[in-house]
Amino acid sequence: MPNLIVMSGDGERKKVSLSPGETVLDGLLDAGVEVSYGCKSGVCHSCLLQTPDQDAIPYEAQQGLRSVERGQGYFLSCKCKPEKSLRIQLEGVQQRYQSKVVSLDKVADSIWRLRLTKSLAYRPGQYLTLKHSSGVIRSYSIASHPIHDDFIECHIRAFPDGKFSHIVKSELKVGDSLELLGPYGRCVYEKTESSRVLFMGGMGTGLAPLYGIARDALMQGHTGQIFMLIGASQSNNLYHQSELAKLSRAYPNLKIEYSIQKLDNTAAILPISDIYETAAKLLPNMTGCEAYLCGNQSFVKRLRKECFLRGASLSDIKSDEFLRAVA
Amino acid sequence: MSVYEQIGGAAAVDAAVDIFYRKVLVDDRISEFFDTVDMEDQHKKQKAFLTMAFGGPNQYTGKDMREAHAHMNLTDEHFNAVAEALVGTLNELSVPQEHIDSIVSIAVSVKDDVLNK
Repeated sequence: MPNLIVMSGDGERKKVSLSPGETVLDGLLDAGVEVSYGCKSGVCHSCLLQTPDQDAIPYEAQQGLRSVERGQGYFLSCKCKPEKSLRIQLEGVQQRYQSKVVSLDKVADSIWRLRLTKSLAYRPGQYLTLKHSSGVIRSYSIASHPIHDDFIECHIRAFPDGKFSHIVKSELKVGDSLELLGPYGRCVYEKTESSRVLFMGGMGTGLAPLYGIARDALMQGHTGQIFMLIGASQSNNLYHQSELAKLSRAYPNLKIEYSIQKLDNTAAILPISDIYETAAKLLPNMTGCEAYLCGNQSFVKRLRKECFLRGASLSDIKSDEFLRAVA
Repeated sequence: MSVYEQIGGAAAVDAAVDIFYRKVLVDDRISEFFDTVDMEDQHKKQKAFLTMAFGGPNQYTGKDMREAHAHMNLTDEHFNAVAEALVGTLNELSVPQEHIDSIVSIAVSVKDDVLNK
């Protein structure tokens, strides 16, 4: 059975035994060690810890981390089920930033647009973890541009039973403080070949990172065609269309297409279509294309497979999979 | 000189892996084994398999082959589907028939381990 040796800043050591299959995070919490955590799904990165025993870190516990973090022995304790014993360095490992709410607007049936004061540097396409004063922690993609916007914008899909959704719907006000952690993620535009065809597929608030990535690419002088396909579960969850239309008027190489998955009681502006079929029609051959896919995990998984089957190389498919927090 | 070296070594594996992966993903007989969330990880495994099948440097042992496939309840049909995908890939890359024959014989040599016989 693997043991954890917890080393705190003041030199104190504590031994914690893990049960079979138990994560480092659960083991530490059971033993009364104070560790911050959020989603318990490997998404929010709030439970990031560091160990000098890098060989003992399982692969899953470092997925999604930046290479510099991996190299320094950081790992996600909620995804870490070690086979060997580990020493754990308990110290303030995360840089935290304070931001204030600039505006909060409902932009679609279940989507809210949150703007925060710009308190950290990021790349379009990355995501942040937001911590509310009540302790609720969630991760959201950034829709704004670090140079052209003087705020940080996130799009929040509200779920009927969601904790952060509840805060957004009924508590959060302009001027309130939120703590930010991050930024995280590698789904960002890299200017390698500016004439390349780019495909961007997003479902729901997957639009947020794609809007940022598209603006980043265009402002860096990308000349190749950019096909952006935005899906929504229902037409009353389509949003941000005027911003996208404005962007494609300014940059004729950006083509935007929408796909609504099912009918709702609002007058349907657009016909119902299958987003995967729409994607195939838009770009039947993806050989040599670069793809950016953002949205829920099953959507990203299926679209990634289809892009690959239509000729895109796996290393040219970047993605941001949204997971729902379990805690 | 091994087949692996004759067909171009690691570069040949790189050229083959995407073609091979696409073939197994669309083959209803076997796609479920390859259709995972972590496509990068699957891609790595297939590179390792192709390197082995091409006679390149690998650390596979019969025991590894058995353990890796034991829980999948594989049959001749599954094995044949993978073999067809392999041959189809090599044909697409215009690999000479004599090399295809050597590669197929390497793949067949692990058949009993894979099918747990």
